[in-house]
Amino acid sequence: MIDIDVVRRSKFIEIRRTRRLTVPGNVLVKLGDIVQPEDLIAEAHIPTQVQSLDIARGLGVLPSQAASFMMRDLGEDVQQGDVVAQYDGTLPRLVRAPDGGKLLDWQNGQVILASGGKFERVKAAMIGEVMEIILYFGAVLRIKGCLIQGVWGNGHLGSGQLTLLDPKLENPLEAAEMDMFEKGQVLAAGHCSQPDIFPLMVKKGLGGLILGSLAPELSEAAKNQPFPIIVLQGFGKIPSDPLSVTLLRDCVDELVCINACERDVFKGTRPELMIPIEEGDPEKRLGFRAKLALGQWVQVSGGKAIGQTGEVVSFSSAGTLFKSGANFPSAQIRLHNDEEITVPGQNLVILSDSKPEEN
Amino acid sequence: MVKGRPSINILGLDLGRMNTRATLFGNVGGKFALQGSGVARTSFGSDLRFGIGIQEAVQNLQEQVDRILLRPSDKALKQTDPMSLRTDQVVSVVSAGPWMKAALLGLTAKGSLRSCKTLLASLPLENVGAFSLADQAREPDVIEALVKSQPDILIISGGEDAGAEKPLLRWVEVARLMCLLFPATAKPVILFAGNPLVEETVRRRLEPITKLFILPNLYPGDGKLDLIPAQSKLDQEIIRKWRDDFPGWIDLTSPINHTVAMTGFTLSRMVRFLSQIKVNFNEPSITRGVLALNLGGGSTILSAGLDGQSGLLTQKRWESLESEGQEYVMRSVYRWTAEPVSLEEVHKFLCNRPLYDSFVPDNNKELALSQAYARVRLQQAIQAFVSNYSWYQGPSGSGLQTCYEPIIASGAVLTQAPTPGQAMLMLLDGIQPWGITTMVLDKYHILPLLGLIGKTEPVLPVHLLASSAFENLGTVITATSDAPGGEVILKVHVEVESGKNYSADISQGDLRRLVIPPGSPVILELEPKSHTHVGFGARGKGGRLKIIGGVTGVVIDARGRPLSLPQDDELRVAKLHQWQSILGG
Repeated sequence: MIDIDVVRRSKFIEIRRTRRLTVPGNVLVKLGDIVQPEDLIAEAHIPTQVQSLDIARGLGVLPSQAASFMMRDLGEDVQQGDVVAQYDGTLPRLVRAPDGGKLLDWQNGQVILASGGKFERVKAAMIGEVMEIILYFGAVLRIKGCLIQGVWGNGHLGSGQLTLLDPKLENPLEAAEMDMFEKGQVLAAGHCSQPDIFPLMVKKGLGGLILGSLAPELSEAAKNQPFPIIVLQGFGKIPSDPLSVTLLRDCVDELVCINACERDVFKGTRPELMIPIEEGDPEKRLGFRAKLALGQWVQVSGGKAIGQTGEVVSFSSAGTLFKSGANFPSAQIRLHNDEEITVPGQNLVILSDSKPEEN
Repeated sequence: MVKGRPSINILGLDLGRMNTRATLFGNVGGKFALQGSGVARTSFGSDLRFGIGIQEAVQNLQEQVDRILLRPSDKALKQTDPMSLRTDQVVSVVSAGPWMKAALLGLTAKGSLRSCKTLLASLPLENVGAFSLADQAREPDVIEALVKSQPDILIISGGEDAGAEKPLLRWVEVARLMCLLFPATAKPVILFAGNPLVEETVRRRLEPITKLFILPNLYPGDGKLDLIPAQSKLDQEIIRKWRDDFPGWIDLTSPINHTVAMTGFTLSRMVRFLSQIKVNFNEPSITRGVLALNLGGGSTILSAGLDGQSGLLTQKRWESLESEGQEYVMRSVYRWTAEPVSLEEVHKFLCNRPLYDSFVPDNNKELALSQAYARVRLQQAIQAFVSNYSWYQGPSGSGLQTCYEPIIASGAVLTQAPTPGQAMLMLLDGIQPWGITTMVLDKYHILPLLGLIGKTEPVLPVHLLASSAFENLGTVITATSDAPGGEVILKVHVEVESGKNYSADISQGDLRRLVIPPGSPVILELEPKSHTHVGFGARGKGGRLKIIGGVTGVVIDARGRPLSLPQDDELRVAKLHQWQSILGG
């Protein structure tokens, strides 16, 4: 059967994640360190402002002579007020650095000072142990625990104590219910379609939002929120995934770390949440893509059952003629409500090796 | 076998965002032919190995051609994949990699900066900042903006040949300072394509700091835009970056016999070749161009060539769904969906589609939505192409638009459409061609490969283009007129070699299909009314035309340009259905 994407949902698994700068900088952790989600792993500083210091003019010498009066070398860091060049004649003269920065370049009696700057920082975005240092760039982190990946994230990081709107995540999130929750909590709910939820969450100071599904008209608003939002199943009103519900319910009140990053096929990253757990039976690693197999728990990515989850009960490699008139290799899926549907194999993503235990 | 040369086999690899295709070309009876084609999903993931997808595609190909093309790798050569390719020559075209960031420093907004923007839009490059002469008054801000956007590539252009020097040299200093701010591994590659008089200074100031390429002026001053040398250099740079980012991909074969280029660049090379060799039937005075497009999983690529000029456009597939473009795309998709859907359903479809790469439509509603989105992608690509290349529409003032013939199309939404009529209608509605054209489907996605192979085996593309590897979808005759709807604007006489001749009256607003067996030659005699243009150079001018029947026969499109759809939703859906059923459902 074909290779399809894996959006992993696992009760207990070893999770390894690379946190890496795009430009070289300083790695701020060391091997064996235990890091928290907000901890910086590495940081790089790139100056963004340049100013020209006219050394020749300042010293009253010819541009061709100015270099010989420099007190500091190119590439050197200087502090505000440091002497950059000095003329020791009968009337001594100095040129001082107007700002802190780096002496960058020299031309026609002028030196270029680079100052200000932007920082590129990479955070841990999870609780974990530093298992490998990537010199000048970052580190690889490791943790054991529950992993729930989603299909959409708004780009933010966060963490907090997990709380559920209702035990089966069946109810849509409503503004009136916001009073039930406390600052810093990460809230999981089945669906959100009310635009006034987001400002209320900001006002309340909630740490993040985990949704089974989100109304498409709220996608733009969700992108603009300052807290992390992760969508597990897709856009539209979709019945909750029993596997995700079970995993989340088992971890109520635990600390959950959300990395609601955008999916990046080149880096192999997906929006995800992790809940550290000390002990359990490790589940098989499936990678970024895996072969579809009988018994797997999958999520449907097209058709009327889009976003719904179920178990793979049979295959047809020869192909099935669908209503669209096209023929595709297909799989028979038993949805969580026991309805069986036939889906093109391509329209599935694997969530887990097996169906969730009944509760 | 080609005379005087040993028989060779060429393996072509096409690494797309969704699929990797392996195609074997060989010599049969002195003619090059396509021997087989295998497809697999392009392999991505945390291990970033394209090689896995290539191996799977080649394994699929091996089963078809009954030949062994993979062998265990030679560890002595430090090949990272367990298997490597065994064939005389391997060529790869790639579009799968991530887009690179590019910034522009030009002089005039309508001259050099516009040329630079057209260059950027032709390749998988994201414009992260464009600065003109006016921005030189705030140099520190420009440097800050450049550093913050962290471009992979910086393009400096401006000053016609022997034109402005000083402002250009100021940009060179800005580029130098910006490069000095970055650590060595993050410095951008600089392309200088401006006034050649300052080349020496550019070299002296920039070469010691970063990788520099000096290229012919993009806008030399004779009114013509020459992007090809810069595109060629950028093609190599992007490939180099992708090779670095995806180790193992190139190790599958020896670098000696492996040529690699970007899909869009080689597609445009093929279009240039075809537009140069074109001989216009009957009327040498009529200018006809060639158009090729690929509706790919990651991008839309469109290239056209006309009268010695050529252009290329690459658009990111989901980019138009970001923020301000979303509403327009949503409404456009809604209007072109041939099923009753709500705006909410369209919105849901467009939000969910980018989440799942491999999605295929399994019901009529999703098929209609996917095909509507394909039409909108084509319309957006044509619109952007026209704004970048003014020659596309032909000489201004004539009121008559240029004909492009053939139009060669690829992309799974077209090649895997349930019926050829659906592919034809998507192309007609998306491109809205003028005059007479032939729609050709590149079923195996090989046109870009031919553009690359043609460099060393010029005969191979010629043989392949005449083969069944390309499917003649049908001839299209677009009749345009300002007559009121329902009025006869064109009479067509069909002379069939082995059968009964017949005639058809075409009215304003009609879409008509003349069924002609595929491969059969017929002669069409077109008699347009005095106000009707059918592509013979003037309104009311007709003529005779010999064509070979394509799979949808001959399609006569008198629906008008630009196409308009009924405002009423029920009528609109019914009209779209009607057009679809005319072309065979």
